[in-house]
Amino acid sequence: MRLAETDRRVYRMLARAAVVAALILAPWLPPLSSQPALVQAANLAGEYALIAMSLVILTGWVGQISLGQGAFVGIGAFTTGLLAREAGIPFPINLPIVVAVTAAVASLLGLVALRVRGLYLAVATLIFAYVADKFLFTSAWLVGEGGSSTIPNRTIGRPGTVTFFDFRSKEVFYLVVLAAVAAAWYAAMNLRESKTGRAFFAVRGSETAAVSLGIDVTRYKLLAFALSGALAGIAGTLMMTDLKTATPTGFDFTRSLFYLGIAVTGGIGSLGGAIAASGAFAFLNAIGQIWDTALTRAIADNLDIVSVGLLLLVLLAYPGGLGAAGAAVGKRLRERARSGRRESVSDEAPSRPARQRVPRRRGVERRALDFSHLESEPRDDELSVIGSAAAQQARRDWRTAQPAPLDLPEDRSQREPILEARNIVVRFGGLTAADDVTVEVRKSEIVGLIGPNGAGKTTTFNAIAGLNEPASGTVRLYGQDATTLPVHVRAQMGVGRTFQLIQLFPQLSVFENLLVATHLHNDTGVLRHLALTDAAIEAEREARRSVRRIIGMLGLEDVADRRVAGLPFGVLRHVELARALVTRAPLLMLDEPASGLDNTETDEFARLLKFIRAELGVSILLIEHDVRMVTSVCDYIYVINRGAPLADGTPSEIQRHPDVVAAYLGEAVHA
Amino acid sequence: MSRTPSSGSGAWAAAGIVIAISLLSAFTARLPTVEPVVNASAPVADPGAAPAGGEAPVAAPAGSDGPVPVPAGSAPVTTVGGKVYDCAKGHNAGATDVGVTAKEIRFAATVVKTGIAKDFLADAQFGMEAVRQKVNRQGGVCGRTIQITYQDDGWEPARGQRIIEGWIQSKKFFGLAVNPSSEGVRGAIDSHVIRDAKFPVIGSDGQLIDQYQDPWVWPVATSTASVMHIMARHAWQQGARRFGIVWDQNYRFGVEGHKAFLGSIKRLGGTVTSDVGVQGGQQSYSNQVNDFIGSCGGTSFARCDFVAMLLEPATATRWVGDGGLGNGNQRPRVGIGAPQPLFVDAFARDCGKYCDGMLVWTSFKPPLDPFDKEPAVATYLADLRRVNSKADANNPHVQGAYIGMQLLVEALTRLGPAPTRLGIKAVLDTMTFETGLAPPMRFSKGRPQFPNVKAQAFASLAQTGSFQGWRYANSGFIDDVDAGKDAA
Amino acid sequence: MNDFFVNIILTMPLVGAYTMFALGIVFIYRGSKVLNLAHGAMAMFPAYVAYSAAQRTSVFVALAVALVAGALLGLGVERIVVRRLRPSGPTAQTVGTVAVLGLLIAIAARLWGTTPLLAPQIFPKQIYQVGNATLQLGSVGLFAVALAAAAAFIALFKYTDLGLALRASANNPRAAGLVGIDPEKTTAVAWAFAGVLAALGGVLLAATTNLHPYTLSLEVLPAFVAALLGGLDDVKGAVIGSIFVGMVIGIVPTLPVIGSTVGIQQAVLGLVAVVVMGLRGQRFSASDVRSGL
Repeated sequence: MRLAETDRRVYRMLARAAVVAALILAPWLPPLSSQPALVQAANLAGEYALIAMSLVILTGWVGQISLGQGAFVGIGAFTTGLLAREAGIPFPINLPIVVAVTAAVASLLGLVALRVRGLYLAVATLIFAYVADKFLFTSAWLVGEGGSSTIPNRTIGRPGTVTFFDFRSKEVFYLVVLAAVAAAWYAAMNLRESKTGRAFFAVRGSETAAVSLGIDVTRYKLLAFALSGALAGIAGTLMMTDLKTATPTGFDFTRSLFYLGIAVTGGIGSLGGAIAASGAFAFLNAIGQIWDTALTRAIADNLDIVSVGLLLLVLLAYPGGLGAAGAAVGKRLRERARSGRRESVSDEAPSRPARQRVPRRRGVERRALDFSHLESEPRDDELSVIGSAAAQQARRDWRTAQPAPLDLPEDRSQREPILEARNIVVRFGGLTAADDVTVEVRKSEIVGLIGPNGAGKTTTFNAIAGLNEPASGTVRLYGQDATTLPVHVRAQMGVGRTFQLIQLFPQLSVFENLLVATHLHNDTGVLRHLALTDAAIEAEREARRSVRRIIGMLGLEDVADRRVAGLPFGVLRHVELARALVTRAPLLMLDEPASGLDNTETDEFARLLKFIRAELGVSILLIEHDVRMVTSVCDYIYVINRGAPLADGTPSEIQRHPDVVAAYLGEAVHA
Repeated sequence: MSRTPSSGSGAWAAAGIVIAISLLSAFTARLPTVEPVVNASAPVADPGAAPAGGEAPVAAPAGSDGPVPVPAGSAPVTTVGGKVYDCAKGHNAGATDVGVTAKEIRFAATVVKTGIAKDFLADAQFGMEAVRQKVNRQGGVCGRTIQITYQDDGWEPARGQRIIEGWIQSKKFFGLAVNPSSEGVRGAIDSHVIRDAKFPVIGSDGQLIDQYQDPWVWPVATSTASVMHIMARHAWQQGARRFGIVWDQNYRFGVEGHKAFLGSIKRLGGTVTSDVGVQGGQQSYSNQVNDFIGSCGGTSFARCDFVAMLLEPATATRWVGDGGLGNGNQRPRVGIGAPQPLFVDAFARDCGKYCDGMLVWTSFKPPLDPFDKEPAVATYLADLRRVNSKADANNPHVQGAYIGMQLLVEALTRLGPAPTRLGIKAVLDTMTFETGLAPPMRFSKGRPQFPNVKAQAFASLAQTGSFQGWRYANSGFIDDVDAGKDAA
Repeated sequence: MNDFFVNIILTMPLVGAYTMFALGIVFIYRGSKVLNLAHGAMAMFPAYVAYSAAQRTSVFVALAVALVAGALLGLGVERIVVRRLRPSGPTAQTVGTVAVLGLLIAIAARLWGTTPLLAPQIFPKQIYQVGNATLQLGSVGLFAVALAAAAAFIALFKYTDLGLALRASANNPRAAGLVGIDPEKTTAVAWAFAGVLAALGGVLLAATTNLHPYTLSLEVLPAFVAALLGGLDDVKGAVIGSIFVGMVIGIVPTLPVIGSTVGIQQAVLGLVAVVVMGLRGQRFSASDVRSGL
């Protein structure tokens, strides 16, 4: 067995080495060596690939549609020309400057993305491309006199010494392009599996959920634009260095659409697809020069129709693009190879206890729960095996175990205040939706906010959470004033929440959804993610450990690897709760967490709430309609009606309160 | 799905190495030196100074096997490396340079079959084919037939440049013939790819200034700048002192022409009372027309003795339709002028009475009265019709392509049985060439060079209210005395 | 002062054209939440169809044929491209319309060439002198038709059952389905309407200008700016936006100092768009449930 293992690894390594060698030596091997047009096509494919990958990041991952990527390519190209002409700065020295310039301009466009989204943003990028095309690329200071920007030869390549760096040679330039594409691909892959990548997917999936997990949506959108713009700018530099001349017509609005078309043909979210599609279009471009047959001549003479036709064909027949097609093929191959064999897992250093240190952000003090006493679960791939009966019984199961007794002071005022929302008033135009409502949550309490339909519960709830702005009133978290703080900052302080309409990320698995929630406790930044430093890797491992703990605690092992999209509703409620728990927030705000669950599931959920309160010491504020659940699980209840507070007290007090009975309960519920 | 990532320190190391090498290369290399391009596989005939027809023959340098000076037009009998070749009998020296074999000599050209310029540039290919097929029917030049590989580049500079660079690298072609796609070759010229590779471009259309500045490009037409010089001076001589000009900001010919026109007027001492640049391709120019005509003193053109229209046909039609040439009853005192791009029947028809008397300038003799009876023009028509009965013979690009091919054939003929790239450069750089379709072209070694700086005018006839045809304005071919000035 | 008003009036052709385009864009956006980048081509192609038809029959029959062609084009694009790509999200749908744009232009260029052609005249050819320029009756007609279309449009959405159905199914297809509105059918109707509107605009615009596959199609770009300025789903806003955009494009190049800078009108438009988006942009609110693709 083991011998075959090693053999297979060796074969795989050899195969990979062979592919890399073939890629590097390609221009000197047939068929490229006999066809200069193919080398040109390869260079063009690489340039397209960089642009397509930039669109994968921006539009595929973060969901910001860009109809103006060609403008950034142009800015990169003309900046390169400007630097070469005016300051004699050659490639590759000009790269940092070009990256800085295009990232800066892209961030400006990103600022627009903060105000508008969806198709409005698409039109905004269209306008940007239009203005760049007609105004920016026609100015003499950028493009130079004469309408086209040219790089003097002496700043291109350095023939005479190291032939290797004579960039005028198309073969050498191919190596440059290959290196650029490889580096970009590597960085992008790292990004995708990192905290930044997850934040990107979260922003796209649901901004509401993202902010509730502490993700600063503004920052990540700007970052996405900057990264994407910089990558497109690098492509522009390469194009300029390749041809040594650039005209404005090469970066107009229709070009931007073409680049988006390439990215979509590849499957807008797939890096590999982007590269494949770029190769296809670049190859088509050169096909007439490579072969001279009637068919290729027809294609070459009708390139505009053929390109559009290819795009339409892929769109209509394979909506996931080449990337999805490739992934499907790859999956089948891998399944066949993997049947009956378990992949060996690289053993990490012995797991250290969970880091207790909670990183501090400026001005805001963070609170987080301590999970170290939770069992540390085995590794990812064995999760599916955990379903075995033995493993299940070995664990404390919240379904059956009795929650540990709680040690709360009897007098409520003695309990440590966690949340104090006082005199909240929310108005929408002329309507006062919440009128002088006060809600308090103290340490380890489960507090309920109830009222008839339309009473203003959700409005108050959202005001406390930071989604609505109250007309007056204060919100204090852990003794600090949080009234004007945005949602993601409150999340940093230590507030987690769930939503009435489930806001999970449907394309991700349960595990990945929970992984997003580790955002706040991951210290590493985007640069570390791109370069995959050791710090980033360690942070990643730590995040996964956190998630496994919560999965173990809630018993979600069976569904951990499955995509959220197919799971039953009851399970999804648990997953959302788990996600809030992963943030280690000491305060949880649950918006109708039992809505949509039947009686059995509701009882289960109530039991779960009590369990986590006992195990972790969280405090909970929840809105609910289900009176039975509320009275069984809450320590304290606030009742509001028509926006105004009606009564508050322990469940038994509330049940006997005549106003409450009249307004809401109908008749007293027997416990 | 989710995987735990593995260490990236190997990648860091690789990146570090690459960056170090790049920085090293950027700072340690020296400037490029010019190396002569030598094709190792074929014997190189020493390029002696090949004489131009009509001038005193220059003696070949001692010890070379250069061609024996002969009068232009006749097939030389020459000695190369001790052997005698008689071109008249189709004997030649074989593969003497890239793209040359004993049987054929291969050229390439990018054409425009798709894209925005398709309609006025697609037919140029027929002008080329008219000459090529005729020459090949007669046995080619010195026993070699002329082969041309065509590729569509959609009139896009980047696309054309890649195609041309590919051709250069493939080492299959002697040079570019005519290359009707002016935008396509523009990139290759501007980036110095052409001159670095010493790749001849023979017979190009000459619309843009950069073609006159490259030592390896030989254009046949008169530049837009020259035409505008001539137009301004001609109007001055007719008494115009105040000038109006509307020009296209998008296209190079508009920008270059505008600069040249203004330069000439300044030198002559006139004033430009109305100067409006427009973005081509818009659907309405009413406001800018209002501005332009207003500066000209209203529809009576009180302040504009002469108006120049530097627009391409679609934009020009819009301009006129919005009142850019007035109300059709009153015209500028001296007249209206336009360069070659408006020498198109379709435009003149659309313009109708507004363009009555407008002078359009061209550097060729189109097949129109009185030139259609001249033998060279008749031959041109016949040759063209043989290739394609519907090709637009009046289109200056078609005619220019024909003339460009004629230049190429003539140069090859004079070069003899052992053509080389350096050899053809020597022939072309000192050539005087008369096709009968244009004034005699005189090429020279210096750059910028202007082989053809003459233009003549045709007037649009529309007195009845609709376009009747073009009438020769009896201007004769006028010389541009300011050739070379106002280069953009 | 006189010149000022003259300049305003002279922007009529541009404003008329952009209004017609912007209306169609808004119609489609309201009807199916898609950005139809092919809109210019959907105006250009029927205009060419009218040209070919006018050579065989009378102008008004040719116009009718063009309108039918426009409707068919709209239905076709909706059925073949937009509907099929709906599960893939708005990006895929937008790129789909881009592909349609490219395809229509390429086909038109092959069928009719790229030489500008003279289009059939719907309004009698009558020229008015306005200031130092001329205005065709056709341009005034285009402007008037555009305003009438906008008014009819507003009335349709507000007062008719069809309009209500259109708004409902765009807003929440599932809920609309539950009350008996067939969202697919109403979307198809919306596109057919938009196609007719585009065809009408294309024919009228070509009549006062000329037929050209590229310039006629790409003239739609400023209309997108106009639609955005008005808020993509607001008809009144689209009209106001078109008036503004038309005036900027027409008048800015005639201004004394800055007017001669190439592309200054686009720069001004971009600046205004940024300001408008900054002031009116949708802010993140609790009701924003799903914003992703």
